[in-house]
Amino acid sequence: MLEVERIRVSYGAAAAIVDVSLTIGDRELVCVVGPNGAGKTTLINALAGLHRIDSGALRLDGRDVSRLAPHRYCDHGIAIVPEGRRLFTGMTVRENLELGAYRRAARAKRARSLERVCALFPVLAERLEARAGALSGGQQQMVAIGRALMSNPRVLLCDEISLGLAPIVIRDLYQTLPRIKAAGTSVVLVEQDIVQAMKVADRVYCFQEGRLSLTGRPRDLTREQIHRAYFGS
Amino acid sequence: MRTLGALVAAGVALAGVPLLELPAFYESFFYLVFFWTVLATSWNILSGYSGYFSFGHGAFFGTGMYTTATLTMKAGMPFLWTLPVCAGIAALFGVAIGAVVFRAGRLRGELFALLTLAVSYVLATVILNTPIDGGPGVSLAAVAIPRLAATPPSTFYLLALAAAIVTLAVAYQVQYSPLGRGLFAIHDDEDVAEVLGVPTYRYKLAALAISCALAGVAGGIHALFVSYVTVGETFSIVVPLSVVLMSVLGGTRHWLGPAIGAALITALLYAFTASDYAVAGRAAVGLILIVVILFMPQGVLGQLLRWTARPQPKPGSGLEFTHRHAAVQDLAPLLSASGVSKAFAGVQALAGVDLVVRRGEILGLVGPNGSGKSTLINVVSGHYRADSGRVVFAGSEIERLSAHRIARLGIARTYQIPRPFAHLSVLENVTLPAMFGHAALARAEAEREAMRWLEYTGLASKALALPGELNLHQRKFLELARALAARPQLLLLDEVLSGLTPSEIDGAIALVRDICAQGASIVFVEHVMRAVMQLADRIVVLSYGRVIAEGSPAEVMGRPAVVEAYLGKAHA
Amino acid sequence: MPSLALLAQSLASGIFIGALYGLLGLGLSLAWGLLGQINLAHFALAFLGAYLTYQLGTAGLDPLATLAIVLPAFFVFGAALHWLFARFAVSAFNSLLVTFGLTVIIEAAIQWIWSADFRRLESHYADIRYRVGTLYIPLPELLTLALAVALSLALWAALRYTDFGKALRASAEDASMAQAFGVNAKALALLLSGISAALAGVAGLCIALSYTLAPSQIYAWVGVVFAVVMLGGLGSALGPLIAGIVIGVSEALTMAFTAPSWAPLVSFSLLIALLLLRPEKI
Repeated sequence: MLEVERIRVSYGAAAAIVDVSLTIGDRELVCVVGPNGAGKTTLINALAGLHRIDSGALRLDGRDVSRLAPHRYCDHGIAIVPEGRRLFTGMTVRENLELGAYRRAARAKRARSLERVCALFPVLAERLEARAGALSGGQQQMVAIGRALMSNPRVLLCDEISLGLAPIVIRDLYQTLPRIKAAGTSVVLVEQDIVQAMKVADRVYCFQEGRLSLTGRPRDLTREQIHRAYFGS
Repeated sequence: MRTLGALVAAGVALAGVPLLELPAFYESFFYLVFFWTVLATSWNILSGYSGYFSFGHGAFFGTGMYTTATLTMKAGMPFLWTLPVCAGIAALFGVAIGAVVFRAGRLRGELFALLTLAVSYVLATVILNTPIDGGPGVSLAAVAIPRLAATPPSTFYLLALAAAIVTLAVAYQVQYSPLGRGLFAIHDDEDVAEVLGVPTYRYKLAALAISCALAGVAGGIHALFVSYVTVGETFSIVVPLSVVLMSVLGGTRHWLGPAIGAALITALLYAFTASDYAVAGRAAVGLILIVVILFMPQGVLGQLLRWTARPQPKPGSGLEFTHRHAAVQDLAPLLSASGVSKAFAGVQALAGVDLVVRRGEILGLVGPNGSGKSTLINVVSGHYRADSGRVVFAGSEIERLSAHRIARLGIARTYQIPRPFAHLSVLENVTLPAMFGHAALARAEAEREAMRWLEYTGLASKALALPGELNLHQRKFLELARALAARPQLLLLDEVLSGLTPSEIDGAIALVRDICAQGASIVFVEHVMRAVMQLADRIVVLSYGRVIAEGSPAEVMGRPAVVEAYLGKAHA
Repeated sequence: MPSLALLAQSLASGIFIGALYGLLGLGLSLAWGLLGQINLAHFALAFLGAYLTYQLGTAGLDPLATLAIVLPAFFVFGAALHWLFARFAVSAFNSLLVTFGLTVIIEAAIQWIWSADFRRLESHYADIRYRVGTLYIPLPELLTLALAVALSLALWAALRYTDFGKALRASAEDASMAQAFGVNAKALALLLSGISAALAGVAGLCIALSYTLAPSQIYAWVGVVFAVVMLGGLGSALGPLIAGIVIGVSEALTMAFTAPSWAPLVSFSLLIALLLLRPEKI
């Protein structure tokens, strides 16, 4: 469904991602792990249209979207939950969520989508009129996920959603992921917490210094393999 | 020195012009050129060099105008004596404002510009409504013009010429002095300048005081020249806007830039006025400003200097290091932090960190993302102030010191995302900490020291390049060279390896080992685990703002608690 | 101690001039707060609009009808200006300098076309005055107040309640995130810049109706309107109007109790205090 074919992404003159290919199928949850600076966030941003792809292809249902204008990516069913959440802190929770459904196709179904997000994250239903910047870290993360879900995406890109959150909050967030998957959205999850990631992932990609170092299904990978892929030799 | 000599010679030569007995028009024209040179150059000393664009220069110029008007008319002081008083009062006024404004955090850029504009309006209103002016203006017709030359126009010519020469000399001196170096660094990145040892608050005040004093003198002379001083003319918005225009046109990074801009604009306006196209002249001036901002932001002079060939730097005299400290580790703590806490907007980044760094050791500071490693570096180097806790370095308590003092004591750091001074060359970037940091060298010696470190880090061939021309690896090494040039006792490295290729990492590891062998103690934050294992004598693991483990690398990284912090709990 | 009637009249004139400050500040505040553009030329543009109103009004057109020509022309100008800033990646501070250059050009153009002589629009609007008790309320001033209130409320409502307004606010805070959700940030920016310039045109109409025009007057408003913009909060639609009226009334009362020449002290002291004490509020 989503195919990344040999992409290269750079920051200025320096290459951040080199010759990376991966695929995500329908209703799959794929985890991308690796140390800091390895290129995980760059990958997510490139898939969401936030960062230019220098070469290679990004295909959604066969159609290459890598040359489109940034604000057109979401029309093809891509939504992002970025690192650090990046909510519109000056606006209310409701406004943030509604903005997720800004694209034409999603706007028509906005009310229904809002109901579904509130069902997924009940605590948000009580805080719809609160300013997004005033919420706790965990709640803000829920708003960020909810905002992305409001656009009715085919693929949800999540970048380090557990950053800075207490373990119990992380556990609650992770329990929603299978439900999102079951409702028809594939998920690409960037995570530092490998054990957590392995529990929910259908497949894992390991990144190191801009390239893929390991890939497979969680049950097929050994601890040592992951250790090495993560920490290096 | 040659330049100053040339300046004085030019001044003496120009002083002979009145002897030519040209029509008064010429002397008045040159008076205006010199007058605007003084105003624009004095403005540039603070605003151009440091980037603190002031729109209130009219206030200091006006202070001078009214000081002379008041002293000559109300106190009967001879005109020439009023000039030093103008300088003094204007400088005092400026420093009073600066002392408050430069302390109020984050007042930079357009906010500083507006504040200074507002000050100007307030001063104008006060003068208008008090006996200083009162409304009708002050006439200086009765004041005796000193007989410095045959005619009054010639006298004003000479006065303005003298002021211009002095101002240019001062601007030249400042540019090449430590004050000027510091101001240029403040222009590019004030926080980093402070961390490298530049006393930013003091330097800004000094530049402001000099700028105001010179503007005050210009005002004093001009008061007698126009012989009728009114609030409307003096505090018109044209003055501050013109000095900005002239400096930007000529080039704000050079002492001669504003003078060139002043000469060009004055000539242009005169030419148009003479030909009855005064209005078109003004439109041309506006158009020139727009074109310059968009296409030639470094100004006419800056552009010309760009096109001339760059001289080659002198090579350093090879790398000899004096042994500053024993290469052998000793157990005396160089740095000790106890109970250090720091919170940002509800996030507790550091929650009571206790840490010791011993002389001569390489300490690895590790932990998952968000564990507080960079925050700790920022607190120790003075970039942030800790909420609570103590930090003792080489016997002194540093947690309340400003960053430039901490740098002087001997701590240097690199930034995770390199923050070089964008408008300074690579060599200048490294010379600055050699001048302002722990080593505190004089400029020539500092430059030689800087070249040595550039050779050490492999950047010698790029000494005259701008940081923007370097790739990531080179910029990381520039950060390193900059930190080393201060000859610190303690070096804090913040993710210096991130983004490098494997072979570049190997080179960097060897370099860090060598630096330690030279005598510096090192704390380095790193995610590249193999580098940590190879380099660190000891490691400290942070998680959620607390130290959770400490000891030798192999032993610590094997502990379940540590692995769990990184990779997550094995069980739910 | 001034009489009650005089005080009431001062209050009224303070409100009216405050409304004009607010109207002038509205476009400036929106462009600065939401686009990062500090448009010093806003004042010159307003005066250009005033002169155009004068010209067309003197030629026989109803002053209000001149808006039909001025508004679209200014809208295009505003959009073009933003395009220029985006194309050259002009920083907020440099936008101040570039628009200063523009101000000088526009001022020269005005002087070229209409000379430096004072010009006064003779319209039937100026002749109409209403009497409420002891108060005299001239129609032009009332019109200014009405326009200021209407436009501020309209923009406030648009920003608050419409999808377009929310998209704008989101863009202003985090443009690339807004784009990730389908907001065409570039197009919206051009639109807002155009609206801001059109608002200058409306302010120009009000100036032409109530005041005598001279090129030198362009700079007279710069200081106080910047004070209004900052006090009202950058990017706010209602802020400039409220701050404008507060300052206008303070100035008017200061004038009633002391001398008129003390009036500027009010706005600038407030501005200085605000900048020193709460710069992050800007």
